Amino acid sequence: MKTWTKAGLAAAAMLMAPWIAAAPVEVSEVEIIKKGFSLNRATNTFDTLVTVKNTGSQPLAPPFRLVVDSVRPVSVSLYNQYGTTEQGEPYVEVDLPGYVLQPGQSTQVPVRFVNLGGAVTQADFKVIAQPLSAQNSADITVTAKWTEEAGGQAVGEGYLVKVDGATRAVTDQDGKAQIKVPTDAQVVSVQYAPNRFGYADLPTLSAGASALVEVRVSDSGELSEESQLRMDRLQHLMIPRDLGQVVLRFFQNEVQVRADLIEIVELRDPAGGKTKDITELFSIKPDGSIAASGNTFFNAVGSIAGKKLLFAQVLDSAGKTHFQEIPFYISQFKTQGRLTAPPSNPGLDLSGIPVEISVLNTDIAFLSETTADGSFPLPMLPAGNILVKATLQSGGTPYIASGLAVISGNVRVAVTLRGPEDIANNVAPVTTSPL
Amino acid sequence: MSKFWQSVLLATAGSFAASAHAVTINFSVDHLNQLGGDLLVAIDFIDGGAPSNSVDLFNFVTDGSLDVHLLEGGASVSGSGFSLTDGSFLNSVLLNLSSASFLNFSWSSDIQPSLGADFADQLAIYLLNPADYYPAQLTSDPLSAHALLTWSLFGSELGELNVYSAIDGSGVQWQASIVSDAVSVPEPSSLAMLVLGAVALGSRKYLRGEVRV
Repeated sequence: MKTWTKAGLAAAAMLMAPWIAAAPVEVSEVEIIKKGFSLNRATNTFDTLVTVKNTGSQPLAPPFRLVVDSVRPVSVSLYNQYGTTEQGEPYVEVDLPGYVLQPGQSTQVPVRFVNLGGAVTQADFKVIAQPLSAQNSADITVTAKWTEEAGGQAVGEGYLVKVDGATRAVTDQDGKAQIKVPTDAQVVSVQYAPNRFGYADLPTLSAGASALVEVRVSDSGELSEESQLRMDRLQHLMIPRDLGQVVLRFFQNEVQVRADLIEIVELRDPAGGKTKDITELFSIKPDGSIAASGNTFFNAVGSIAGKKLLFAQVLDSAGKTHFQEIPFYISQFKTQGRLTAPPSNPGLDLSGIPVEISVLNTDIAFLSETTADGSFPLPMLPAGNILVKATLQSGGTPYIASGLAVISGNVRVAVTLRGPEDIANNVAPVTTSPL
Repeated sequence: MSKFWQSVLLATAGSFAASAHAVTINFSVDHLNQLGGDLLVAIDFIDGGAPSNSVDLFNFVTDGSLDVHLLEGGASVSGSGFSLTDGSFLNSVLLNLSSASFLNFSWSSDIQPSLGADFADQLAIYLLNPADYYPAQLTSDPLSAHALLTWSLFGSELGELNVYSAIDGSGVQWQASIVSDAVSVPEPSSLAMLVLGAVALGSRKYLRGEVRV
């Protein structure tokens, strides 16, 4: 068994990661069709298939992303989030048939929502992608060959060809692939997991031109399959301490990978300290996920406080390697939130107000939303200080709720909206009481 | 009232309900004994927004024992079957199924399909392990939720029925088919025929297996 070093991972990731690609743009000439939700009781997510059709006249290339434009209630979050846009909107990376969506062609995108309140009442999407027009694209023919030291012959078929980190083709039996690329594309790479990898800089390309690119491949890479590791019940980076079992799943093109062999599971220290091998705690479940009992897992983790990293590496039934590292925090305290009306305006309508919550000195930040009585759902939270914020305008008067609350046990957090008069009267912004 | 006459009345009521763009779907699953003794059958109806829809579940037949585990949201007992409305987001009938080799049932709905601007209402059926609610039967469901089927009230007046296949070699087999799509109110003479048909159907189903809902 081979495990991957952090240095090797970092080097490979530089040319594998789609986020280094040129920024895609919002595409208006698409039709987005929503169908129904399924409840996945294993992951506790509401899943749906969204169909995206290219209604324009230009092919759309990766990075191709389905962005969650808005969602209600705001406590809903994406289970299969791949990243966020520059505006902070979460998105799902879309797997395209033939690596490009031609005019008139459709693709289906699984979207999986985790939520605190048990409902998804509304969700809207938009698409960002890389349009390829005659004015902004060129044709390249990629030939992938082994390095001279390895014989120099063509690599053969089935190697992924990426342009600026986004998969655009697979090689044919002669190790070749023809791709239409944007003229500002910079790097082409060729890979075959778990270790075959090479790349080349692209020449300066002009619109409508054709270019030949040769990529030399060696077995120096350390590559996972193109899959995503997810932890069931993880929301806003947190898993509750009372979880009965900790379940990990790899998804490839949003289809769950069925693990056949657990190679390694380890806890890593974000600060670079020692890793802890916890492979023996995990076993393969019939659905191909891997799971450990909650108690043994949390005992192995030890200290509950702070950010943790979990690395998992498995082989699927085809012998392909999947590995990834995910961050998480452990939450342990039950919390309830309530927004209260300002004393200066006790009849203020408190329904549907977004509430921002962040845990200080962590990456944990999320939104909740008030119901008619001002209460807003909160997940279990780790020990620490949380910052709660909400704003509202009514009758021309701004009301702001903002304050810190200490979480050191099960707690009820009441946050008061305050207008100028309330602030002048020193109305307390936040109060807490045991739950 | 005996279960026999309950099933007759339910079948008759179902015929009336099927008078305006009604869709009826028959579902059957066999070789359940391959999955062990105890199962949960989950029938979820999830609200996608407007328009509003409801589903009637009826004609449950099995050679095992079947009883209610949980009714959630807009689920309720209706005659010898169940009604699922989209009054809540998640509306579910969870049934304990023990020592069964097969289970058959049907459902019908006067569907108001979504046209894609909003999410569609959707029905899905799962076989789960009672201990942890994880799927007992793995399927080709593209969402990896392991539904045996999904019926999305989308597009046409028949909805969109997707029946998935087993991917774990369990030997369990299931099928579903749309058996009626009445688009006009039955004439009184045809109503009499429907009642006779329902009597025949009810007696056959009643004699075929134990129904304990």
